[in-house]
Amino acid sequence: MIVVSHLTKTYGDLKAVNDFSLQVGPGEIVGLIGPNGAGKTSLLRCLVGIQRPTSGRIALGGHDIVDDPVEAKRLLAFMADEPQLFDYLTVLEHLRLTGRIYAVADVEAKARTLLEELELTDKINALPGELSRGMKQKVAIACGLLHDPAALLFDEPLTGLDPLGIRRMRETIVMRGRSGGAVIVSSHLLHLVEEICTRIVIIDRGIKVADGTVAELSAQARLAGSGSNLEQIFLTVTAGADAGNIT
Amino acid sequence: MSAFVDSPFVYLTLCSARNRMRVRLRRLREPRYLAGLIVGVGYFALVFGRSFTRSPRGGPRGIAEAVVDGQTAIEMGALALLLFVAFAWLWPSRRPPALAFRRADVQFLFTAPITRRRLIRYQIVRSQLASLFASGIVTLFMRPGSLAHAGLLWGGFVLVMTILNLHLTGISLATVASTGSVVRRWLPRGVVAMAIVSVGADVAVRWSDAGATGGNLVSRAADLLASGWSAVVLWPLVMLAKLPLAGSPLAFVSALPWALLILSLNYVWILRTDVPFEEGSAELSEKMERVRREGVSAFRKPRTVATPFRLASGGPVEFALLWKNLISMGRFLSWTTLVRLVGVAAVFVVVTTRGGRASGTRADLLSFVALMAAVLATWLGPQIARADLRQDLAHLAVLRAWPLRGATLVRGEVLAPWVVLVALVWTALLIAALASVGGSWRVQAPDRWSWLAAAMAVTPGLILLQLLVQNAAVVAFPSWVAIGRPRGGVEVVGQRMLLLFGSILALLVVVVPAALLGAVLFVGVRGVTGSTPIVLPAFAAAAALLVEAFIGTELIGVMLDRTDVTALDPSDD
Repeated sequence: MIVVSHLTKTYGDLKAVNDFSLQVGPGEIVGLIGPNGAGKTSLLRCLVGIQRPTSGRIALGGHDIVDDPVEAKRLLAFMADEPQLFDYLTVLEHLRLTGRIYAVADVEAKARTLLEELELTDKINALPGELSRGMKQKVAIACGLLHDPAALLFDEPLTGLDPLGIRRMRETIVMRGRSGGAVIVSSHLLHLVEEICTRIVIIDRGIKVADGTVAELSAQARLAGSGSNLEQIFLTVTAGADAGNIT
Repeated sequence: MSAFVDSPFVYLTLCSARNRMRVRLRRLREPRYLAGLIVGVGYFALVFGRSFTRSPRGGPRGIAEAVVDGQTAIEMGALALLLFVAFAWLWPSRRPPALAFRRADVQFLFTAPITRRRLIRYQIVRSQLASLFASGIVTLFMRPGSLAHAGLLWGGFVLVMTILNLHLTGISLATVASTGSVVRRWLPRGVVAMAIVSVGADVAVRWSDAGATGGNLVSRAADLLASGWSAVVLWPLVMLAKLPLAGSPLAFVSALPWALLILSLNYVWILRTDVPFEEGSAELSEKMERVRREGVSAFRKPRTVATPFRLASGGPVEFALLWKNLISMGRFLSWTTLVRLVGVAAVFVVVTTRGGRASGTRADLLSFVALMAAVLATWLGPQIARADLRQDLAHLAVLRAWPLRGATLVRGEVLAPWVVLVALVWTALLIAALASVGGSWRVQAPDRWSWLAAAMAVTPGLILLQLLVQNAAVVAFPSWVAIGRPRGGVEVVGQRMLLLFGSILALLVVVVPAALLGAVLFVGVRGVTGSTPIVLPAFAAAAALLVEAFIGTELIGVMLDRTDVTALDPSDD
């Protein structure tokens, strides 16, 4: 569903993403982790078409994001780390707008179901200025899920959510994966990634330094299999990134 | 039609406009906005009501005709447009091409299945909404005299602004689109440069051929621009200039088809330019958001500068705040700023000397300019230099967490603009006094050095009190003042006017005791000695001003300690 081939993104002399390749199939939930400034956000912004790759190719459902952006984006939902809503659209109007953009049938019913699931029913006519950060996050997520996307990209999805919201969000991500969605979750919360992701990709200084399940990475990182966790793997891999990649 | 109504962009625009109006109306329930609205509406009614009650200026043509005739105004307008466009082509922005999308546009629309052309079209149309309003304001300012003339003026301004806006957007996109091809990159610039050079050469050659002397130079230049090769080059721009400068509906209608053609060509040109504008627009949207929150200073790139002095680990806390704010001021100062200031000063000198007000020796001129600089810095400086609570109150929660009294914070916050302004004013006063020694000015008794000492004594107190009045306004009415960021609306204009009048009144009240003390001393000493004492009353007044300032910091400090963080108003626009 998501195919990234030899993607490079540069800003002047800085290579934010360097020859990065990745494939995410239907039903896979890939955790993208890396230190600050590793290139995660640049990678995600290239994936969703906000930034154009310097070189390499990105395809969503076979559609190239540069050459055939409309068809590629039709399959996509992107939940940014900092949700940006239109200042003067209410919660429901955001969903109606999204419905128009993606030509969603029966948008009213779907919108109300999603808002109920995300406990936003009583905020249906509120403007973004009246919402907390967590609520804005939920609105952005509702908009993302409205058109049943085949590829979902979450950038720090739990930021600003309350404990119940966190639990719901975890369930939503897992459910989307189980129902055949190709999901990428970028997060610094390693326990979340370890818990819900079927595969982990570690990026450091723009380069993919590890790719596999926790067990595979643990074995490759030569850590004691049973006792090792993602945090240990992450620290080992990013500390030794210069020594060689683990893929 | 159905596609238009179903368009998400139409839905977004209409819903946003309706909700914005509702929010504006709802906030009028608060007295601060209602009072602001009443004053704001009154102000605009007073200013723009004259458009229909006083003798008309006759629009830009009428204003221009006060100096030159209508045809000359059109030719010079066309020349100005050519220079503007040429400047944009020859010195294009180095930033990536960007259309001014909002951050929500970037997240919602850039990731959505929407073609690049539709996005550009949406943004172009959206940006025109602002020019409709701006053109209305300019039209009212021009006092057109009749409704029909107002309509022509407004339509003309809208079209010219739209075309310029489109053209600048096109230049931004084309600059990147043609990066791969040397010919495509340099051809348009070459054409524009040729146009400028050929018009200049054409006018220069025929100027000497004509051999005419006397008369209005601008009219002669316009005559030459209206004929020969120059007329050919300027023709499309003359059609544009005719729109707002048209003296009659017939002239407007005759220029309209050509203007619409130019508009269409620009529009098609932009839509056909397939350039990845998304990245630049995303970057710009972040900047625009910062401007919305922090004010226009967010557009300036801060520089890393050397710290003004080494901050000791001990000592008065006020110096730490002075140190912080001096760094903050230094980050936004640059050689460009200095060049701009010198440019403004040069214009000022030219304007003042033309009238003969400062005629005489160079020393007289320098002395006069320095004195004016000192006066302006004393009067306007405290309103411009805002590196104090006017910026930092946005971070009140952080300030509150520091183990400091409010009065200490106030004193520390106003120190940086005070130190900078006093240094500027004293320097200007010194230059004025020194330059006047070699000039022809006759300084009345006692002598220039006494006047200098008196001025240097009084100005620090005056500047400090003005700064404190401004800071007191922020602390007393935090939700009325744009703390760090600009806001819009008629009611906000009204709020600012109320604050301005209040500040002037407060300043007058606090200056009165010091002025009285100085006056009493002046009269007393003069009565006893028969001389004209300047220094003693000035120093006494200065001392009074500083005492008042100290008391002021204590009072503002108490207000600051009581200020509710939630009284700050970061949510509305």
